[in-house]
Amino acid sequence: MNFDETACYICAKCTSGCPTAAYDPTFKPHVIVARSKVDHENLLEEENLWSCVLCKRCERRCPQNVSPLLIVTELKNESYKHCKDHVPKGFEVLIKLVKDTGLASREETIITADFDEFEREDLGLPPIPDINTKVITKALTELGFFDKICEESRSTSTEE
Amino acid sequence: MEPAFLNLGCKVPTSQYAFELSTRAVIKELNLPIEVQQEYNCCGFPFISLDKNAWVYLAARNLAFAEKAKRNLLPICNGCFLSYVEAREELLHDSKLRKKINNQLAKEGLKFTGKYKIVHLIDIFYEVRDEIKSKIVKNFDKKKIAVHLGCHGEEERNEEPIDGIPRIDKMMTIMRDLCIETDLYPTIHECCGAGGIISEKDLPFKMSGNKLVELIEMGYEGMATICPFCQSQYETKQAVISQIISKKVQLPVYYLTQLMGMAWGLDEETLGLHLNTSL
Repeated sequence: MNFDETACYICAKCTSGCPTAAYDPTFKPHVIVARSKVDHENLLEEENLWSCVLCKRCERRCPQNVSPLLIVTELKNESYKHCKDHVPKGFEVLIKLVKDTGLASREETIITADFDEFEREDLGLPPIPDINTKVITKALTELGFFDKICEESRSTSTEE
Repeated sequence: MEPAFLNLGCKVPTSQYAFELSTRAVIKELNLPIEVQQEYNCCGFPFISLDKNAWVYLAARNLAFAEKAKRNLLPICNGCFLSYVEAREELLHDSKLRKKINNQLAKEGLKFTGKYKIVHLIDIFYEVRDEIKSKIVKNFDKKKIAVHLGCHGEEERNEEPIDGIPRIDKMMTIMRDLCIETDLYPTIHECCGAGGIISEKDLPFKMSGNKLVELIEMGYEGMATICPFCQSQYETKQAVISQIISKKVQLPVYYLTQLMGMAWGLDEETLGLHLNTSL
């Protein structure tokens, strides 16, 4: 993954192939790439960064070996670090889940088209193995995942 | 094939039970040297948008468990597959990151060196194509089913496909071996939208819905997937899609592993077909 983020010549091939751009005309990967060099602070306020569906098509189409996806991802990482309001609330649920269970989704009872209900056991599937969540949470803490730099006006609390 | 750990990820063992059932059944029938990975955690991909260290650590822990057991890692899910491929690249090319992550892993006696591979179900099935064909007792008699490999199962930019054949072509070949009629179609690479669900917008469902509508209009009798997120978007969420795009959408969507098992005459419950809501 050796991308050259300075090589963009704004051909917009990323945007013309972007599935999100097809539905949300305010989301333009080539504009994000261009603005990331000169308008970084304002980009961090862009709520529609989260409309990206992570399909990687922009990266695969780029004739200049730029990854618009990587730029969008880095902007999202920074938004999260700085407690921006636009970070989807769903992430709080995912973070709690990974701390509690080690996985990013909870075991569900599923309902079929005939309204029959099934759990793993009913289907003869073995239980999900025990996961050492203590070790995982400790590592994530030490790696700084829960340290956030929130503006003073907002709550300064960090996860944990 | 070389021995591998089947990594079930999060989505499959918590809700996409049909994929787990059919994959376990197919692996058993093919007698492949694959064991389900018992010690693992989330692949980290859900956190790639939040924090690089968190993502890479979670991925590396699973890679290190497989390495410890001297096995390749076979993630059942495309999302996990890409997560491991990318995290592995990051770790191999960034020695500072590798050191930081390995310091954490060392506390459990683990280490990432990248010695073992990350393998994809499609590549493995293609490798044992003849075996798959030899087990057919009831072929699909030219049933027209569209292929959907999923974005994260496709080769990377500049990546040389294994055996020189891209995974999407391999998946179509396997389907044709089962006597399914499948061909290229305009939106073959179109994304299922699952990666955007966290935004809680309608956009991901419009994406999946419009592709289903197009396939129905083209006369397809079904769709085949190999990823729990794609399947969830195209199959489990069909009722939601119908509401959002104000149009009744109904197309049977199967996991490729279910189609293989059907052709071999395995029963519905073994393959979890009774759990598919679109059939």
